[in-house]
Amino acid sequence: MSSAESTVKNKSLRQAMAGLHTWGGLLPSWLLFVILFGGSIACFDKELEVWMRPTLHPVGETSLTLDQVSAWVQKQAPKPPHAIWMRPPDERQPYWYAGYEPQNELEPFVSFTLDPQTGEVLPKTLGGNFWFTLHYNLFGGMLGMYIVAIAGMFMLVALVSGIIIHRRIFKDFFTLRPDANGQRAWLDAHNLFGVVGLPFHLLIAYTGLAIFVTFYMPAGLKVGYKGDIEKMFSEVQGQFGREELKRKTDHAASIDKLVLDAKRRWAASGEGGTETGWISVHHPGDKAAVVDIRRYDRSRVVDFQWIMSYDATTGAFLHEQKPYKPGYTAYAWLTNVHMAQFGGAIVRWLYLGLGLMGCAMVAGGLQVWLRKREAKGGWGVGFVRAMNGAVLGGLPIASLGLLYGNRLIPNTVNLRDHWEAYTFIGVWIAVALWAIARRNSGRVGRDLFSVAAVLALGLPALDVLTGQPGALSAAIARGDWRVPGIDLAIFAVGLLCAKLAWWPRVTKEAPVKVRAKRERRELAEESV
Amino acid sequence: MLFLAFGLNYLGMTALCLAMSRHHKALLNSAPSTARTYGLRAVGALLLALGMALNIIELTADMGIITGLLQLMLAGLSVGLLMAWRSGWVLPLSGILPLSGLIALLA
Amino acid sequence: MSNAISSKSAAGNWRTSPVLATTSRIIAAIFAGYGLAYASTMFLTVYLPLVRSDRVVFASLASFIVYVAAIVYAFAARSASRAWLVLVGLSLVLAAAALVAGDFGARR
Repeated sequence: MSSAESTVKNKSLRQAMAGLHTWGGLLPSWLLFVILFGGSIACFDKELEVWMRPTLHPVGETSLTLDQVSAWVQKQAPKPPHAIWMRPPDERQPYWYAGYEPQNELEPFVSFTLDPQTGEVLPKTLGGNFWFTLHYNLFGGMLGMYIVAIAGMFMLVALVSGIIIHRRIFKDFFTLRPDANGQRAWLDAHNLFGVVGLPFHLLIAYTGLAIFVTFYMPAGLKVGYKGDIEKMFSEVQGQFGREELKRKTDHAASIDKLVLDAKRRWAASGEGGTETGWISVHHPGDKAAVVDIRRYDRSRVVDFQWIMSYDATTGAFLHEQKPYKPGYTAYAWLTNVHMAQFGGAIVRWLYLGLGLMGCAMVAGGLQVWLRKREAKGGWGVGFVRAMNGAVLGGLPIASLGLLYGNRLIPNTVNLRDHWEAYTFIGVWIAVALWAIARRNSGRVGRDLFSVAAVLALGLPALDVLTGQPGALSAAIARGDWRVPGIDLAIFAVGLLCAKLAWWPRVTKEAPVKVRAKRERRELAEESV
Repeated sequence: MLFLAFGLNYLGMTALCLAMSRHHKALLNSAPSTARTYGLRAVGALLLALGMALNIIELTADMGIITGLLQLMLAGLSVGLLMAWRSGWVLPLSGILPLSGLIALLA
Repeated sequence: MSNAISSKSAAGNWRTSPVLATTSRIIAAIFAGYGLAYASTMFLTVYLPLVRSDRVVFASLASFIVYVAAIVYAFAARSASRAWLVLVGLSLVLAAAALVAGDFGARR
């Protein structure tokens, strides 16, 4: 192929990829923003959960035993449950989690959070888990999960096509010209956030899909295991399970004693610690019931749970999980890289920052698209502006609204978590309607920043006024920066929003220079 | 050790930044020669690799790769944002950060 | 937006319509792309030299990469027809190779 031909081919390839990137990026952009924002906030889901449960006492020893919680949970189920799950309090989650899988396996998991001292069920709240659930299934169940997966695929395609068209990927690195003309400045920002965060964006998009691979790609199951799901899971994960005998027994070995045995076995290896994670009892009350005790190892990315399985009736030791095989190790590594529960708070701070940078990348891309077409106008421009205000403004403001609702809705209200949800939805709808109505005013951004600023700056006051008296200073005194940290971080965001709303940078947009001497080739990405 | 690793990442990114004539002119008021451009790129790449290596040495490989990448990205972002708004800070920080990291390591 | 394929259209000639071509590529990307990802997973599950659980895991994890590559290819290919040909053709070859192995794919 001659060099002229290959240039033409390259130009066509770039144009094709530019088209793919622009439209493949635009269409899912608002959905991606929701997913990225939710996921970023979810990095601190456990801290937010503590913030949203102001009645929690500081973490102390729990006065409940596993046996007590196990008995209690089983009593909550109207029919003998398929399995029960428990998790004792730990540093980051100072409350008990307990729940059961209903006998009818089609019904969803029922869960409770218990006060570690009194065993009382804590007042319901959406908790930090709210953003996590929003992130992975948009509260849409299986359908929601598939929608998120499709968005994830769009993101990967947008990233790859973006790399292909970004000819000056290294020449333009570090180049951010905030004072350049609108489209150029936003393109610089979009490129900077995209390229600097490329390892993150690629890894997170890929690992997010990989986590639920068994839902999206059944070919391996069909060909390798002829469709036998149970067999696949037990072989891949090395877990133990056995069918129920359908014969009841009242006898139950003490789970607390079994935990001691499990810890002894884990300690023998000298690494990975002996902290327990989730503990489950399968077919509780049946003669063939099994207790699974999982370890929680924070020291590595791959959390080898080293599940110890015991007979629930006699307490006999049945099975220990073997170290993960390469395949599951790879899968666990990918999953945990996505979940960011390793490496302590600093890793989660960085994920939060990079995730929000991803949101900024999406927003920047939308601005590039808009600026290019604003002059021509048309219904597309109005639509995109409306969506930008409704989603990019609506979700963060609704999130703040949720925090306000969490503190302002009285504990005595029975379904207070539903009311928290109504608050969130209501605020979002209000912002969306208003942003749609004002989409062509040119002021939507500034006005949304104002609202966000007011809410965010007011949050520490909200916390102090509606929390337990003296709780904040007590927390700081004992070095627990979770709740004060959230107040401070959101206050700082409020300051940033205030600056953007009330002291916007007056940019004399530099006039687009007319290049006389050397014709500047129009970049493929600028032409779409 | 991780602080030093970040300092090296930042220094490496600064080197790569200087290798671009536009930024070299902005920071050092002169255009870089071809030799200097290649030299800066090589040094920059080396420093980034060293930063990654320190992460892997300090933590296990499975975690070090991730923290190394996180540091890499943060360093790149920092240089990029500073160039846009506080370009005068870029060079001083490229000395201060690795030095502080070294002191922290030895202390 | 001009594409690698001809955007000249004789008045109303659907055969060279760029809209049709783009639509065709989109459908190829989504469906034939998934088909290729599925077929490649089948193939790797059978032929990777690993134990069964590892074959299934690695083959499945690779499927996303295959899918993304297929989608990008659907738009990079010289023509929509070529995109279909390559994606469907490769899928058939890989699937056939996997099926031909019979029970070999389910070996432990």
